[in-house]
Amino acid sequence: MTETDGDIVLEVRDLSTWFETRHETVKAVDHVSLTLRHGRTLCVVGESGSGKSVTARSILNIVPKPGRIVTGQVILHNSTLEWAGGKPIDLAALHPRGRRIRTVRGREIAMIFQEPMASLSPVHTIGSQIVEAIRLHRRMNQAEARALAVEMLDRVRIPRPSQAVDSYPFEFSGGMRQRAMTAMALVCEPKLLIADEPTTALDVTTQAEILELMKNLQSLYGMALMFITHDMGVVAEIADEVAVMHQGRVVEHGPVNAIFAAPQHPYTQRLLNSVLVLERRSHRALGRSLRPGADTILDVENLGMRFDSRRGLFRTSGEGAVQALDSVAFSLARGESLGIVGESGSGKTTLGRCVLRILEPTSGRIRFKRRSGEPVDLAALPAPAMKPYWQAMRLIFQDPFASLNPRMTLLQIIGEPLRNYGVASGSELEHRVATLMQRVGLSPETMRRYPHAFSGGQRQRIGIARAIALKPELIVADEATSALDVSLRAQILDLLLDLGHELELSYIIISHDISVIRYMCDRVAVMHRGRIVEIGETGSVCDDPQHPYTRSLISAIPKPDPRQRGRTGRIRYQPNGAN
Amino acid sequence: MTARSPAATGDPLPPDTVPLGPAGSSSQLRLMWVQFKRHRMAMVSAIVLIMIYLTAAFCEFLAPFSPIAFNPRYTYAPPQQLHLFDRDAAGQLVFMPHVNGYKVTIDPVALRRTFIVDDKVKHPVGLFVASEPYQMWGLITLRRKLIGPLVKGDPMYLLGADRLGRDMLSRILYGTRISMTIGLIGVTLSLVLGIVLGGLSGYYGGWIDHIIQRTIEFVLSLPTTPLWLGLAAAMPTNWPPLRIYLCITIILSLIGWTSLARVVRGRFLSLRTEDFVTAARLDGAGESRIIFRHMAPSFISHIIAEVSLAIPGMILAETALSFLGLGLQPPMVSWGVLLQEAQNIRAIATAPWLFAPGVAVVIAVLALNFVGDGLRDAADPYRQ
Amino acid sequence: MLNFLLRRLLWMIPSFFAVSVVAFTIIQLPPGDFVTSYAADLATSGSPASAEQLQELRIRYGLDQPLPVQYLRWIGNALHGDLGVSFEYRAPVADLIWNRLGMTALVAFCTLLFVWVIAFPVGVFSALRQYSLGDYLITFLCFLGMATPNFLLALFVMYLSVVFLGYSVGGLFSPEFVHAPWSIARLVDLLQHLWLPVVVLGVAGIAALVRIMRANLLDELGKPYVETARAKGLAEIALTLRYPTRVALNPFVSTVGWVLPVLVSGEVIVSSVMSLPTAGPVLIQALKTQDMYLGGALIMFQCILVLVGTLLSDLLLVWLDPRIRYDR
Repeated sequence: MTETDGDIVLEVRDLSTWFETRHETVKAVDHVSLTLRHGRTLCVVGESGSGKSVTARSILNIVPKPGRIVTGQVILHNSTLEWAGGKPIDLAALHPRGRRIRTVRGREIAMIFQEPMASLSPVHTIGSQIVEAIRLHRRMNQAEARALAVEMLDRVRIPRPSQAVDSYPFEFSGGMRQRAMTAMALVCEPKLLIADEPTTALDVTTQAEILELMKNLQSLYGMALMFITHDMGVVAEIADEVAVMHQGRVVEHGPVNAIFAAPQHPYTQRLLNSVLVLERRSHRALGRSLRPGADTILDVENLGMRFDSRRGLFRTSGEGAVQALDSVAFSLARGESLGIVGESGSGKTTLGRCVLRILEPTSGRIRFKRRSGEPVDLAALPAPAMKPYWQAMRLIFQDPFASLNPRMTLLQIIGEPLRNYGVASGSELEHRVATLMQRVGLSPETMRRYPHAFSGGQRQRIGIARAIALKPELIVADEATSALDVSLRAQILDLLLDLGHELELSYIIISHDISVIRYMCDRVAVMHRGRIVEIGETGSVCDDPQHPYTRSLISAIPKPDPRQRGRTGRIRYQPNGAN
Repeated sequence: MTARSPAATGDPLPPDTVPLGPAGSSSQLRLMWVQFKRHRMAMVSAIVLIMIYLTAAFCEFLAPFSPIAFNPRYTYAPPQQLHLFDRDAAGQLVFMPHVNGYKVTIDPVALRRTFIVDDKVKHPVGLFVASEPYQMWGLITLRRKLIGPLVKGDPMYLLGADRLGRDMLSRILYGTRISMTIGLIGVTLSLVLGIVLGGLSGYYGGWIDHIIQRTIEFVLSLPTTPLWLGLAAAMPTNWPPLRIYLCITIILSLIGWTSLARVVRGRFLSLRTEDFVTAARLDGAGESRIIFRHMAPSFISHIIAEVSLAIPGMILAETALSFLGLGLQPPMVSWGVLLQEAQNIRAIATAPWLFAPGVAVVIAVLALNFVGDGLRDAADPYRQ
Repeated sequence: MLNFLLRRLLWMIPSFFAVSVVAFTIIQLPPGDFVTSYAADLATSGSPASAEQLQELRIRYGLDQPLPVQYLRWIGNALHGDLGVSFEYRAPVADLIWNRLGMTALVAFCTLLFVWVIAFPVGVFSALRQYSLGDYLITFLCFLGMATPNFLLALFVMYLSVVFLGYSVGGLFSPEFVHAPWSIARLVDLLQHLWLPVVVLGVAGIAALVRIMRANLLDELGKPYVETARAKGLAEIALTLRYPTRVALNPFVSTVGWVLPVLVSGEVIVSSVMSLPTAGPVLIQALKTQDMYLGGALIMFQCILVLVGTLLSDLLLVWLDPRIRYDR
């Protein structure tokens, strides 16, 4: 049966999936309807808790306990299954562990998941996992199945597929594993591929590769693609149609151009706004002008940091030492905010931690000049001597859950630096903490509660309150917004900008997300494999990058504007030596 | 049941929202208690444990007889049932606790005594009966026991008698004190060793960690009983019982510290890299403040769980040693010493109540294991 | 992988020496030495030796040397097969122990296999049917099994046998086969007797391993790769056995590291209760009479048995886990 482009492959009608526990019933999916068409891509977009993942799992009827499909239908059209006889099937009515739904999974509808490392069995070869998928649904012997697996791996552009088929998942990088999972999903040529945030855990450049791969495979196989994501840029890049989900419901759906140009629902508008606002420099930041003649607060020269391999009688593996930072140099003026952008392994986090001497640099100088005082080389100080400097240089962490001691109240957490530096105690301490909490937008009555009572965004504010408690001069923000939903990012960044104004702070903003940097920073340094490859004004680096790596990075970032699709060609970066 | 939509981790509402969850103001202790309560077996076992330790504390008062009081007339006498009510002359039911006496026949051929419980003979039993003066905890002189025969010299063997006519119940009650406390003392020593070595190992890392880890692995890989036996056998048999007791405890703890050290080290290692520990350091906290104020609360609950799981090992070990005659010696009474009587298969065949101390061991260890399991589940109340 | 194996093998050497030091220390702990006991025995039998004779004996056996020298002499002799003399039996230790150690190894490894064969499926069942009646029953039985001292269980079993069968079960051979040469009949007889001590010894081990397997499998069942397998269209039973169970097998196999010492250790008491011809009863007797060369040698070889067993389990683990093979 040949389908033509646009034919309906799957219809979700009025689906509701509930999670029923002793205490409450959570309506994870609430009367959701979607349509998936042959050759077209539907992006289901929403923030965490919107129900998009549960919807995907409901389609395949693999919702984990205690969830179950309460009402609704999932109609699969034009299946090639013998027992269906060519008629549409309601997947939601099939028994979740029965034989019939199993003939659908992997064959008519396939699914790939977010974390490729955790989603493939660590003790089986890639080949055996793909062959299993083949032999479940097609009559082939071992040799034929293996040959098909090799061919599939080649089609997803994994190098040396005949060797890759006998390799284990841990031997591959994240991007390669995702390709292997895609190969496994497509090997039986399903009509619909559901992709649940497949690129969220990948670097921007790897993400671009995978998106391109998916588009190619779609034009090759013609399957319908349901792509779940929270990233509006990705949506703009690949979607034909968009469904926006919020708290279990589809609040808006339509063609991608219409959604981006004229969103109807307030939630969609807010979502788009919070993404688009980061496309430009914040007006708060624009308003600031650096005082002419501002002195240099931080001057880093030739900073190097080397992680030694484990020494001992026997080496555990053939790896040598890792040079995490290599001759890094930059300077920061007082009142300026400098962004450090890079992908995983670039060394940006290591840089932030070395500046604060949480990690020990192996070479170089870090000259720090306080408002009142002479420049001091922090790298040359003995470790115990850092304490007074940590009053002036503070850190905001990435993970709002792990950076607050779950066994201390807010008062104790925010008051910790005030106590340790002898700034205040007793009722004076409480007063100061209350003021700080108000400043970052928290209610002071809650100061005796514990962190687990607060949401992610609120916890990040607690972290900020802790950071400004001692009136510092420099704040290093290490991926401060990466763990937060998109709609919150602008809020937190605005808070940081306001505080910067008020307290005359200088910032080092570390992020893998260039829109954050573009929004907030005056200058940006691009890092790759431990080196700064380019540094300059944010505007010029983003609009007119010079270094080939920066060019490839900027070109790989999906823009949240569907009209720009395919206009800017993607540049691949080939460093000297193997890629 | 309330139906609601899933809460997002983002908050699209204005910043000063009400915190989520009813447990917002609960401290760690409270959350742990809530979690522990859910484990029903652990709750039941906790009550059982409290009763056992109360028994250990007040054994002199609770036991009807002294553990060394013997009576050759009643060797291997079977257990007597305690009846609470009796019919008086008028046929009415009155509260008159009593036990039935024995009819003794002597088998002329085997020269063995056989006891049959004779319900015509009644020995009245009372609460708070007068008794020989005895010392409670070696300090207070008391003259009353909780329960005992009203007429001095009457037999009351609620759990039977042993080879010398000694009351099993009294002996088991006295044995509770030794068996349960040897576990505690041994575990305390193990704990100190384990915390110090595990802490050093996890905190400093590097070659200190390497050496301590290899030592732990090595000690764990050795079969414990042969080593205990070897160490115990090396003790001179003419030492006073208390010194032997202390030596045994030390021997037990020398081998038991390793699992505690591993737990402490593991927690230290995982905590060391936690962001909030780094944050504390950047907040200017000194090393000792970091360890005791910031890290310790995170692993104290795990330590407590491990400790309560380590005590049964000590109890079982002491029981085994004493059973073999290489641990505590009579006249010290522990459950293991009592079980020495059960080594003789012929004896058990005719007097199966000699197993009773073993039942006590099983109950105590079961209770400790359940409580430890419950504590381990409750140790990390933030684990979703 | 080669690295890993090499490290493990090389680690055995210091372990063996550490074990021998421990055994030697135990031998030397009781006050006095071989000659003192010999002298006491001569005195009681009515022909005391003179001080010069005793001193000459001391020099002959090297007992007047400082301890480290004595140790080197002892270990040197041991490497040649001379493990000292048993005072109680008046015979070389080496002659007395080999048979017994062989039996110990047999019982220990049979019990290990038994424990694995039972604990694995029961643990898997318990995890898959979490919170069911079967799971609660199994959990309770496991706790009970871990709470019962193995010698108590042995005593109880023997009590039952006396009451119901009229004789006490014990030993590994029927009387007619005890000293007979090896034959099929003897093997059958051995197996008929072996199962009871294996069960008694294995109960605690099974209980502990079932709990561990259950916990590990429950952990794995929640992992994403299980969902991937389900989405491929695998049936529940097939995917459970092929993926999370397979992954949970690795920590299960590596428990040998502490199960084997527990088994060898438990065997000591159980075998003395059940009169098995293994190392246990001889060890206990030797320690009670402070026949220290015999006792020390037995302790050392029991420890070595455990170390070898752990090495074998590590080899098995390498075969099972590709991550170790590739040094990750």
